[in-house]
Amino acid sequence: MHVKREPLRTNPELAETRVHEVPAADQLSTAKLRFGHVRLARGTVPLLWGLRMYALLMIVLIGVQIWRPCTPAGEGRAADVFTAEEIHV
Amino acid sequence: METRPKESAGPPPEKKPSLEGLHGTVSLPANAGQMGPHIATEDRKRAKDRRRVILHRTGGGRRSWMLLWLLIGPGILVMLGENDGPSMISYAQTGASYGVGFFLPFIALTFGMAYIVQEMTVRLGAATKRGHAELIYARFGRFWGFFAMADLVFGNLLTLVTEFIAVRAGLGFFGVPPALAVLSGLLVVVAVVLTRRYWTWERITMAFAVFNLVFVPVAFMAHPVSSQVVHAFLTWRPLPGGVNAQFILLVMADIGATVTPWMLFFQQSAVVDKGLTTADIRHGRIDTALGAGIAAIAAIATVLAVTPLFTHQVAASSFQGAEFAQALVPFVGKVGATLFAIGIFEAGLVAAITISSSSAYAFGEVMGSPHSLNSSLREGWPFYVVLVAAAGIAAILVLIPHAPLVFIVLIVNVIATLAMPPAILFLLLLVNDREIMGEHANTRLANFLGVGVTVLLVLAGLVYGITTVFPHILPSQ
Repeated sequence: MHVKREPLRTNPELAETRVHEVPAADQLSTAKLRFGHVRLARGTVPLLWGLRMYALLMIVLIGVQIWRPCTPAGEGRAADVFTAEEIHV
Repeated sequence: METRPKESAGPPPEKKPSLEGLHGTVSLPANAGQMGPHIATEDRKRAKDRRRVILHRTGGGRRSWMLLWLLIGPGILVMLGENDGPSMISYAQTGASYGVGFFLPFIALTFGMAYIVQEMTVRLGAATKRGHAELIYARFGRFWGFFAMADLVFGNLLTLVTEFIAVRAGLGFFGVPPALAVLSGLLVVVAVVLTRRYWTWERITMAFAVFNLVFVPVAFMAHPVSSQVVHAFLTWRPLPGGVNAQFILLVMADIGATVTPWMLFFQQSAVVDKGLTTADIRHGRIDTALGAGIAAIAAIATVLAVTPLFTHQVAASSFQGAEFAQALVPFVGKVGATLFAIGIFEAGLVAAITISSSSAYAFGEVMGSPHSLNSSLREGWPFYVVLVAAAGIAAILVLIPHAPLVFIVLIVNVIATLAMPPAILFLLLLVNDREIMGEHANTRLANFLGVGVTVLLVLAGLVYGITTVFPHILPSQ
């Protein structure tokens, strides 16, 4: 593509043309094509939900991990876990 | 405005061409000047940036370096953005707990994993010109689109809180009151965005991000034994205490410090906003590799910087950023400690800028509103409102008395690790979609590596879960 070196806004009409020419196709915010939907494969949906449930379960476990050392019964038992103290800044 | 493919442009279509191959350049109607087609402000600014890239694409020597300079940005920002407050604290905890040994090569490996994942987002963004959330919404429907955005915004809010904690901790070392420190951080985030120019925003943020390397001189001041460092990289040893609960928590935290869902969304959106095309993928890869390399150096330097705390058996398990700096004064001097505090502040600040923008990008992409840092305030006000609100809410939360900040700092990286497998699955589905990716779809090797990273993350999470449910299965020390 041949592009001259003069400033972009010397001529308003020319500038508009260059806005169209310089970016690649489908790059203008108003010229993007619509993508059609695709159906997820039969095995993919359970996998997505499975991974999501796994993440939620693990987050609950993290809560347990953090909460346990904070309880009187848990003191010292999980001393290796970072202790929940106040932040001193 | 009507656009149509340029009939004579480009090579003859292949069986499954990419969008760029399909449409060539966008042609104008003959009376375009009179019609006054709607060109958004972001298009004008992006066109200006693209014109500079095109001018420098031909010719070698200095021009090729200039081309690289013009095209780098998203990769460096995402990698250094992920070297954020909680990440640097995780690395510091690692160094204070394990010294020079297993974790040095392990951290380098995690950045290799980050490169594998992030490189896919470069190709996705360049080939489709769409952000990650927009693509999920477009291809898999409203339900998964909103789900992905909600996950991201929630995770980002938690992470942003930790970034402002880091800002507060870093400036706290210099005696700045918490409210003033947090407000200063928020003002910087807003000021950088108000440039309303992606290029300016990117360069200012990169200038801040360079300060991530202040951990390197601190590492030298700590006088690590070079033979020990080489030995650690060659043998992945020593591992004091062996595999125990703390080891697994730090493994999870260090993975979460490198590979997280917001990175996928941010880099793809930034690639699109910057205007990268398929011709720029090679430079996008260099950008990502550069970012991973610099971030790995900063992360490893942080581990090395705090090894005196391990050597002198200083109990650092509950330290936050500023406490590390204070504890390091006897070993690296006041200058080293000051640099460490600056590094913690920078880590929080750069991440606050990048993560808040990733929330705004995702919101705009899913809601269909303008989503560009090139937008004018009038056109892109929802984007800017979300961006500032994301940072503002996090800043306010940090200042609420008795808010569970420690809890958030502890869990944020681990949650990131756990949330990553579903996010990578979407990424793999999209990057293998030949209808939108064409020739830039994943190769077998890229799929093998991507699936490998996912399996590793799931296994790390499962081991963590098992040791949580059965805490006595592993020795505690």
